Amino acid sequence: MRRLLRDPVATLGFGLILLAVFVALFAPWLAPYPDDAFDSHLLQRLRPPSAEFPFGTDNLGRDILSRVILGTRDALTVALAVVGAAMLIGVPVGLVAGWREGWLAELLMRVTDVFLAVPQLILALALGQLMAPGIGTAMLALALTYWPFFARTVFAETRRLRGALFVDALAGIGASPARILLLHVLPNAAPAILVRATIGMGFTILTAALLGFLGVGAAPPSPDWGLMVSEARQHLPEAWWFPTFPGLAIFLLVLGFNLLGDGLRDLADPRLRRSR
Amino acid sequence: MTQPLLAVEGLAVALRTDHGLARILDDVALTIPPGGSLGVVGESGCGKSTLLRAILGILPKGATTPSGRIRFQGRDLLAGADWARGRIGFVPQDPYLSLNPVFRAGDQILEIMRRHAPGSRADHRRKLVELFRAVQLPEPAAALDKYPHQFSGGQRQRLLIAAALACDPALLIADEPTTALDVTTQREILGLLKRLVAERGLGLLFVTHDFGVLATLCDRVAVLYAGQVAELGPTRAVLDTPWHPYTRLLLACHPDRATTLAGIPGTVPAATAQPSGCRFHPRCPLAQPACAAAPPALLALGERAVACPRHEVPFG
Amino acid sequence: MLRYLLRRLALSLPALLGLVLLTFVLSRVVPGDPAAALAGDAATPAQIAEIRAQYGLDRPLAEQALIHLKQVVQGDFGRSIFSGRPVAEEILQRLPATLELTFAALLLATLIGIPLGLIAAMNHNGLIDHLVRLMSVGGLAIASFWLAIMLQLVFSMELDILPLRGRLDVALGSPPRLTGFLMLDTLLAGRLDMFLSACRHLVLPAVTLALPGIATIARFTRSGVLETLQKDFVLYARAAGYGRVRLAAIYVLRNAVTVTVTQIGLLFGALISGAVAVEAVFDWPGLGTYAVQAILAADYKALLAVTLVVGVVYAVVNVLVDLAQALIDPRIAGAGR
Repeated sequence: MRRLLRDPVATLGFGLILLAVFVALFAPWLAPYPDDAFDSHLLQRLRPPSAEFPFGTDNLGRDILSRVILGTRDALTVALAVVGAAMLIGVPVGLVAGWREGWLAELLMRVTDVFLAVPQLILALALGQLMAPGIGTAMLALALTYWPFFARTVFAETRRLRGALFVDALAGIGASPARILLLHVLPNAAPAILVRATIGMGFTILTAALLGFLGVGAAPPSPDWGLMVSEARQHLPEAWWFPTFPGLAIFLLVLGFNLLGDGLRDLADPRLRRSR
Repeated sequence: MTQPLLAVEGLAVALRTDHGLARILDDVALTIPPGGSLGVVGESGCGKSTLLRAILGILPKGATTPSGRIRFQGRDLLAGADWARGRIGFVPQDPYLSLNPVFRAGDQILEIMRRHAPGSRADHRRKLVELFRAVQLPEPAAALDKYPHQFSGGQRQRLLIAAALACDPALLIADEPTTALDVTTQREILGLLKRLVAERGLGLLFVTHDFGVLATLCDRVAVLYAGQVAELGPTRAVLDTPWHPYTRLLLACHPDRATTLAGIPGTVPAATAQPSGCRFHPRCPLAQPACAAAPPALLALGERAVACPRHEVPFG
Repeated sequence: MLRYLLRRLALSLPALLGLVLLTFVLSRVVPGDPAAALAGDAATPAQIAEIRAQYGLDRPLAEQALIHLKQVVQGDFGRSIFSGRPVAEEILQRLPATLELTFAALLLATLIGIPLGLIAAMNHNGLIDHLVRLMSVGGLAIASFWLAIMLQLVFSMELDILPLRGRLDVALGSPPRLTGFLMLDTLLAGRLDMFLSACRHLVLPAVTLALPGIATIARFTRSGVLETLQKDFVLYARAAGYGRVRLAAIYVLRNAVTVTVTQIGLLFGALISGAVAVEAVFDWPGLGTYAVQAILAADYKALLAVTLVVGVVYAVVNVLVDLAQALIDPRIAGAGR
């Protein structure tokens, strides 16, 4: 942690994420008009930014600043849930496939390959078709398409560690495979998983926003950033502030995760430290 | 006396590190007459590679501007070594890592010739094939179009020797050119070098750990310790009756190889924290209080020189 | 080299087969009763049974899977539930538009990203280096649909110097369709005005799509060059007297880009995803808009076909990438000899 904070770039990312978490936790108190998530005020539609509405108002007269603040919570929740679920599938798959040899390991990695053979968004769209479009479906689809990345990462780490001496020694003194995997392999693979998860958070926020924008993710009137940008399109070029601020929010949050992920990767892989 | 081919005078190079300034080379002086050969020996970290890099003009980024003088054929090299490229041939230490794997071997050498040798590309190709034959590379004509990974280690070293000779140099600099090779190949490469140097009347600066190699290849030898010349003289004389306590211990411990001094207290001092006076005194069996006070001058005695006033005192 | 290519092609087959299987499973899970879905709402049970027999839906699942595979290999993806036209035909209609867009973006990303990464590495820890690093992280954090809209806002709506949407000026009509690639078709038709219009329409979508690519390529080129600069052969080349410019731009870069090229393959996935967003914003008549339209119309056949086609394109691109790598680095193909 201290080493991480010595890297100014990673610290900036960490700061952005802390800010977002703070905003998400206290959104109802921070937002000037907390009810504007759903209430509309048609008399004050599409007002440009002013002291009253720093980010302006949208097509239904809602304060965009409030909606951006309220949307932070959704964005973070979605990303956390998706990455958490993907981890729950991907990490065990990677552990088992990496530890064991034989048909099960082969099968698991081949399935992983199949999922990786198509760009994630396309697969998410196809899977999203399974169920009624909505934010729940989108999350499920994203989790179902992101787990292979964890499986790959953990698989590689497990294979590497399996050949390591200390694991041999543990097996020699009769430790059970489950114990070795959970107590020794997993903690060693943790840095790689953490890096993957951090990058995954940013990636998921982007993709979820895209799904919202395309109309297959969050549904109106929820204060989803992607959805807000999409709603703004009919009101251009007059209401330039309408798409600008939600988009900036996406940018800053994703930037935070990417910067932090970069810093973590440098820490986890010191060999690359100098060259990045 | 004729003008020396290479003359190094008072050369000092320091490196900026996290722990302060490291004085890698300090007041180093060497000369090589035309056609003469000089071996440089010393433990790892004594400054041998930095010496070569200073002469070749490829000091690392953190190095300070070297002070002193390096003259090649009477002209200064420190101000810029570009004019001498091609006239100084360089045979690197590791033939496996010194050729770019994604370019044809011939093209890599032809590029050097394009910049530093007169003549057309066709001339260069013809000449290179000839050189390949001279270094006894199998199928010299076909070798031009092969990639480095298609050669063995010994063959790659032959390629690199050919590259070093490609622009008709007057001086050959070789940096332990055989350490990465197996013993038989080592012997072949050394034989080849010896023959080529003699045939072409080249000057030779040869860096090595290996006293045996020194004896066969070099007529003079310089022993480096902690960035300074400890002893200098005809190879035979130095090897038979070493003067400097360091050389004596080195030869006693390792009759054939100058590696680290096992069984002798202490290690080579860190370049950031050189001891006062003679840099060898903390480890020297002949050390006296005076040795810590002032650095000894290099005493010239006939053909030889030694940086120790007590060189005639036997070990007790 | 040919043997290397064939071996590489064979390696990508299992994943593609798996993908066909996956789409098959999805196509059976999705609509409940596919026969009923095909027959339409007004069908009688007898009609449904007939369709079931006609499509082999009454056979065992394994046999159905084989039939599905056979159809896919023959390029038969069934009819779109939305338009009633064969899905394969519709996809073929739209694929060139998407490929034209992604290739333009990829070209742009390579032409800008590689020099940018090289310059950054040569100025290691200098101002340019920091700027490029910042850009390479920032470029990946921008939502492409948002960037697209912002570019539209500035360049099309406010400045009015580039077209807002579409592939071609409607007033110009359209060239006879030969390849589907407007860049080629307009030239083949000898219509320079159309070609220029197509170029102008391509600018904003391609730039939007290229930005994450520029970021990725610049980043990997930079670290590749930095790594290569540490190599012994670079030191040797300097000692032997290579010119500075040639050393950086050719000697080092060729080693450095082997890693970058791998990234270009991986990038293609991101480009396809980005294309969905960019096509939606710019009304680009490609696969992306088709996929979105399919999902909104619950046209599962179309969507699964898009998934498969994209998977195949993805696999082909990755084979091409490996081939490019083998051409750059002779050791790769040589290893199998």
